[in-house]
Amino acid sequence: MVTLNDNESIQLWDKFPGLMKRISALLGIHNLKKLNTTVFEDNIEESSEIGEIFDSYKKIIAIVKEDDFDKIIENLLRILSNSLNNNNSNSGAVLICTKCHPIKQYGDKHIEKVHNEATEQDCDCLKSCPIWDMLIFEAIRMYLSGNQNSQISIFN
Amino acid sequence: MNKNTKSCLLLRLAMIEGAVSLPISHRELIEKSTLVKRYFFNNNRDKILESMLSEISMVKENCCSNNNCLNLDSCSIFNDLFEKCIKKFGSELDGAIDAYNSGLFD
Repeated sequence: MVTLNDNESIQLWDKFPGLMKRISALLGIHNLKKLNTTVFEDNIEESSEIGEIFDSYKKIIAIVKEDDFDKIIENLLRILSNSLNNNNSNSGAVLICTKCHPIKQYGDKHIEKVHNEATEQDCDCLKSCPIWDMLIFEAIRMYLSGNQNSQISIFN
Repeated sequence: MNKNTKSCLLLRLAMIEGAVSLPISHRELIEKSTLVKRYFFNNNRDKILESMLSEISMVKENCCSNNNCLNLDSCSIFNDLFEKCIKKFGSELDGAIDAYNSGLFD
């Protein structure tokens, strides 16, 4: 597991509470399914709230080895942690959840300002989330390539 | 029990379980995971989690299902199940519950 000091941990939860809760749930599903698969398999398929997290889990577990699941979690934390340090960097793609924080079109001149306003709050909903989807994709890409350097950062 | 209630309860349990392995700092996640970790995880972690999964599958009440349960601040159904399952595994745990309720871990 990636090593974060207390200060980094607090910053991650302050900056990305929704994403950190999703990561926590993802890891928890992995651990709980080892104990009792039936409860999850029987009850999650039709649920909406936890459905996306469970879908993410199934997507990951279909690609990585069971024993390597923690590496994906580590990659997710690494991406978020790097985003804290590269908040103002121009390198890498900028991810913005336009679904939960719609960007109003004020014209090109104001787009940066609108981006800042639009990403002031992390999203707590569990509906389909483009940022979450990109995080999972990037974490899997890092795992498969063996490259621990993320090509994306979260703009928050 | 409707699907929303069961999925909310499962999600809460998954978050708390996952939070034990993650660097965490927030509210009920850290409070509950710290409580379990300090007193029960060494010997009874799997038993408690299995018990929670079983209890959740048998819950008949409906929760508020307000689609805001990632908040995790308060859920009487979950809290009752959590305390019930913890108490199953030893009277010495009562002291831990009291300490938890008294704010010792705040």
